[in-house]
Amino acid sequence: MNRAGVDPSDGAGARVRSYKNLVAASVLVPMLLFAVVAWEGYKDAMREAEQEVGRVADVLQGHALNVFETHQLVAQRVSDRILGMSWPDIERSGDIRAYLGKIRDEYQQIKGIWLADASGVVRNASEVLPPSPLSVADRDYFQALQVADAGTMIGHIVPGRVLKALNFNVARRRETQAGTFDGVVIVTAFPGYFTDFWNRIGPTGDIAAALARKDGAILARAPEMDRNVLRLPTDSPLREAIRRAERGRYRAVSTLDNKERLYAYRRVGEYDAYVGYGITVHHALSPWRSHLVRSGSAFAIASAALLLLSLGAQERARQEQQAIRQWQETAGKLREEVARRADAEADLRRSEERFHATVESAPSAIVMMDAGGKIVVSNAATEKLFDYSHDELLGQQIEVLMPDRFREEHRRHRFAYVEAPSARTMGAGRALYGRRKDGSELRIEVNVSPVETREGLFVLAAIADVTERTRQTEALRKANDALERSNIELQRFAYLASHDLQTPMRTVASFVELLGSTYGDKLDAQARDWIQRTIRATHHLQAMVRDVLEYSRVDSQARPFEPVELRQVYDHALLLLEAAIREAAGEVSCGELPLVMGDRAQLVQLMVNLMGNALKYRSADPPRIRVSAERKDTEWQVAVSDNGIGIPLRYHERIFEIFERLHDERDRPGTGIGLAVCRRVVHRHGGRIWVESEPGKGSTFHFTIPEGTVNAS
Amino acid sequence: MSTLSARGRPAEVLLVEDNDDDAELTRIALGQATFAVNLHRVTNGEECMAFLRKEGGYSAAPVPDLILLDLNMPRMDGREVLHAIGADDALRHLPVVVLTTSAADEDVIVSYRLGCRSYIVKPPDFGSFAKAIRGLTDYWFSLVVLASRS
Repeated sequence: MNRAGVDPSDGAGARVRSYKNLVAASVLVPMLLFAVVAWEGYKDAMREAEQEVGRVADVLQGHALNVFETHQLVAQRVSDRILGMSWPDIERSGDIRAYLGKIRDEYQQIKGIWLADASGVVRNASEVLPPSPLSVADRDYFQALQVADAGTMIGHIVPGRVLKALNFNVARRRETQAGTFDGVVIVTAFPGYFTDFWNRIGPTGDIAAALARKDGAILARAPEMDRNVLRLPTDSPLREAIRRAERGRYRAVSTLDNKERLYAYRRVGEYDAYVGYGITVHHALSPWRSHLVRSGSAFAIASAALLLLSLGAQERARQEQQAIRQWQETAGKLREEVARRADAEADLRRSEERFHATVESAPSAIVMMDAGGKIVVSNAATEKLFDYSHDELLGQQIEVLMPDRFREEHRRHRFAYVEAPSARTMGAGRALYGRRKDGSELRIEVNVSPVETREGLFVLAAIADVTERTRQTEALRKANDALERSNIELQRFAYLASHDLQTPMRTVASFVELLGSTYGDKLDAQARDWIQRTIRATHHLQAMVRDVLEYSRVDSQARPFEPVELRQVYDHALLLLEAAIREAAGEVSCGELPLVMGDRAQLVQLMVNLMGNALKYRSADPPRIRVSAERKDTEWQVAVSDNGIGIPLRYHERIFEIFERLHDERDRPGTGIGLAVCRRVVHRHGGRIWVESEPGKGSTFHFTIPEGTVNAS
Repeated sequence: MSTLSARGRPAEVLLVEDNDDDAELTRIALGQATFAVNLHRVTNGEECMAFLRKEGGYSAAPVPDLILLDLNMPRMDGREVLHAIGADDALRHLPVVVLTTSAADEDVIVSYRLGCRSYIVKPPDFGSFAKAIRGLTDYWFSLVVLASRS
């Protein structure tokens, strides 16, 4: 093309140039759009990942707190046990050694217990001590506790001299009556207890979690720690974060594997320990990446098609250009004007089509409304989510998708939004609800962004259904919280019941009794009757408190499961019930009984309660009790049947509730705890318990107990 | 009801108990027992040691023939009292009976190790409690010849 001088085809040349721009735009615009979509998606994915990391960190913190509280509780128990004993006594005592060993066996999270005197020499322990004296005088916790009662101290991790593994210790100070330092009680924890838990809940093979003190000493780490690196470097991101605040989030590249991770960390209660958890950014972004590949290919195809069209148009224009070289300048100018208008319209139409195709194929629900809140665009995902057809939604006010109670408020928000539109997430921090056509509600998350066009302002809203996610997260968190609390609460409750409640009850019972015995002859029959009633009620109350204590012990005094011969359990129960059986002239027998996994003491209690009930609720005939077992699938079903008075059908469920009684107190004394304890024991063993009975035809209590190895709860 | 002890005078009993109701019940139970008793009561371990050492306001306090000791008390508790008595040559011969609501094995073992002579878990009703107190005083004031006070 001759650019010098006046060219009659100048108008056509401009058209070719404009096609060149179009070619560039057909590549650049989709790329730009794609970049924006990708960036928004990236931010969402990171936000999601940050929340997830925070949730997991909360769980790890709760778990670690539970472990340390257990250590502290054990150290206190041991301190109380050796209170007032001299060190030579402690050293000689086989009872103390057995006691320590028993506690160590009771708690999986405890590896050993050690008692060291004021000079740091270990005088007794749950483990067999080496012949030469073992001293902890060089340990950091010992030196700290020597100076002052610093509460529960967590020592740094050391290769154990007796236990031969990397361990760390939790220690408390022992004092003489005068308050001077008199040694320490040491409870050994081991990192594996923490890392096992972390590996169970984290993503397989890619967990990064650590438990560390404020000074950087590492207590546990996953993946497994290096024996040569027992302390975080001063400039490690975790240490820097801990110095700033007790909980938080940060992002850092690990020096171990050079992977970038998102981390969240929490202080463990009031202890000098922090737990941190991280997931790789790579892992966090994997859903985003796969989404990116999908939308990227869609964009690429659209862009390629557009490019071909543009190139074709450009080629045609070039041929045309050859022809119109001859044309008059004026005619050319006119033609140029007409063509430009046509192009602009075609451009607009194409961009609109592209927009609709993108929206329609988007996997999430997208609606677009005009400034007045009228729905002008909605996609298939929206119609599916809210159960409307396409035509039903178009032209409706956006509030049709909300429950009635939010509509008025939303209208006001919408007016305010139009005044100052910006991209944002709706209902920051509050639960948002959507409403389906049938009126049912769902939890949603909505992202809105303004779209400025020549026709005015439109608002684009992306709606995500988070009902299931919200419900699951909530349920998981609640269950977790409850589990962690229940252990410690039960122990506190048992203490309260056994000590604090019994003293005032004893006082009431004793004084009323004294009133009766001392002034009984000065009172009339009515007054004496009332005194008798008070005494009976108080004794009943005392029995109930004792029973609640027993009920709570099913969990608080639980032992790890072991193989137990049910036949031995039956024999033991028989021994305990011997007097009652003889008194009732009862006849007791059993079939072949299996070997099960369980807590021996609790199974004996279960058997005594069931057989005891059979004796207690006997009919006029001498009681006949039969214990038998049969295999059902993967569990054993045990039956205890009698020829007693039986139980009406409507009570078959209620009898297992605590303090639920069928019979008059005077008729058959009791507090209604026996079957509640039975049910708790059976549940702890992962089984079920129920009764088959009819009045006058005896009762059969069934319980199941899974065969094979069962994990202790 | 008012038989004199083997020493020919009312027995001196020191009750260490922080709970007023329990102290009153013990007083009544002792009143119903066989032997005449002069009951002295202190409410915590520190006061108990002052009484035994005739310190503070206790310069005229008698040497008790029997000490009834509660385990759970504020300030200085029963275990510490047992330890302090055992560590004091002048007091070691005094018979101490632990009287408590706690039936925990650990408490029983610690108390015996610290030198208490008997350990009585307070029964939940008064009748049994009075019987236990009667048995206790019968044993200490008639059968046992107490270590001589020098």
